[in-house]
Amino acid sequence: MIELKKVRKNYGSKVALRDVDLLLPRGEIVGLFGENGAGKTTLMKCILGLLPYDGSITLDGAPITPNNISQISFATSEHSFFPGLSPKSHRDFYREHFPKFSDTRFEGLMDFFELPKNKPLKHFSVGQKNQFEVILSLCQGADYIIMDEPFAGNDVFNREDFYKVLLGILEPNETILLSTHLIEEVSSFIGRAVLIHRGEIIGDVSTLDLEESGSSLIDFVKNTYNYRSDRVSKTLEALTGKKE
Amino acid sequence: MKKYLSVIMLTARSSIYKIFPVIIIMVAAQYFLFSRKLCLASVSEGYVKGAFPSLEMVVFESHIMWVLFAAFLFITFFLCRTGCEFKNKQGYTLKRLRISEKGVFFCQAIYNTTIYLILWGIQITAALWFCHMYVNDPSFGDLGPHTVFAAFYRNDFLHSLLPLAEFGIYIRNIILTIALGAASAVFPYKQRMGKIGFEMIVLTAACLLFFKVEMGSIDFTGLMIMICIFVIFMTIRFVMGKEDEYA
Repeated sequence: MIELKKVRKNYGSKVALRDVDLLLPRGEIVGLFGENGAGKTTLMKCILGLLPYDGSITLDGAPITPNNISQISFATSEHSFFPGLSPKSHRDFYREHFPKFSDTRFEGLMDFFELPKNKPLKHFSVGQKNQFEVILSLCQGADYIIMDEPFAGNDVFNREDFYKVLLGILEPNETILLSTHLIEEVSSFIGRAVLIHRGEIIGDVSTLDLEESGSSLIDFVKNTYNYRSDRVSKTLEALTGKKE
Repeated sequence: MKKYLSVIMLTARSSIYKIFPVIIIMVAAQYFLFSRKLCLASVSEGYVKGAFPSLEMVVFESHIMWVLFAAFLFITFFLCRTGCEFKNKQGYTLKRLRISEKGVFFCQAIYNTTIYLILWGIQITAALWFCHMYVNDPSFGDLGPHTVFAAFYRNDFLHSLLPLAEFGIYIRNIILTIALGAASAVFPYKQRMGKIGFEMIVLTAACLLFFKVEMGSIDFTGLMIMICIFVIFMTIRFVMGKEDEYA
């Protein structure tokens, strides 16, 4: 279990995370939602130890260090692979550093996305780069897979097929923390939604509870954010002078 | 051990395909310039038998030293670029490996030092080959190995490459190679943290200014050794003082 207690992160005078408490047990698919600049990426980078922070983040009760960091993998739209190398070279390199690296999963997902294995990644399209980033994160044998906007730039058909594959290959002990703006698209397969706003967790709900209450994820998000449904009509009225 | 080797292999895979062509082009360009100068010297009407240009003069006038410096700059650029972050963030991966980022630095420093040693070795071999071409050219008369031996003392560039009995320059060259390896490895490490690797800039400038030294020039040799030691010290101090980012 990953446990965050009173995690605080400042960028100069700007508070990026404000006393965040969060539990991520094994075997969950958690969606992390929030507007741009809400603190999603900062939160993920703090978990990975890529940013210094105040508070505590533990993995199964122990601090996250190079000794246990291989239990967490990261797929980011910033891309963490080596652009001059081919997928095959990445596979060889990752095998040495991630003892649980899954060749079967790597080969299967490479075939699924129809990605070339010997071409340097810098020659891939943005969509292909995203796909490869996700593949690497899923093949490291990590128990916690953190994904930050992994599908930005991919077409809807690819995404939908990938969600199906993802659900099919995940082991019961694997946890996914997925940050995305595609709320409706992921609502069908996430088990829990965490909402972050200006560095604070403002909502945390299981999709099962939402179903039982007859509410949808998008309604929950809108309600939590106090979404003003009349803002479109008001703006149009102001711009065109016509009443909607 | 395998995990360290894999990091060295990773660095090699990212740069070797650029570095070896540079070395091949360097030797080809030097061969072209030297043989052209040799040809001009042997057929020129201005040179009468017995007044042909000396080996050191042909080496100097063929400008092979500047070709080496150009290759050195390209290789340094490629080595410093390896591991730098531009659009990608491979630093995220490097921080999650089974070896620390310091370990990655040392692997890269070993690889880069090896590349500079290879460049040095190939340049000495090429220089000896060019000297052999000169000695075996009948236009210049009956010459022997002593011509090559003397040229490596009289020509500053050749002497700086292979200083024969002047051990001070050997020591300088070895320390310089290590300093170059360390400075080019710390460059991407610093770049990933938003800092500038000034060590490599200082060392490159020093190489261009002070690499070529006369026989017995203790002052410039000493100055170069001091600059190299300073660069190695600053590099190690930075790397060892850097705490891992795990909070």
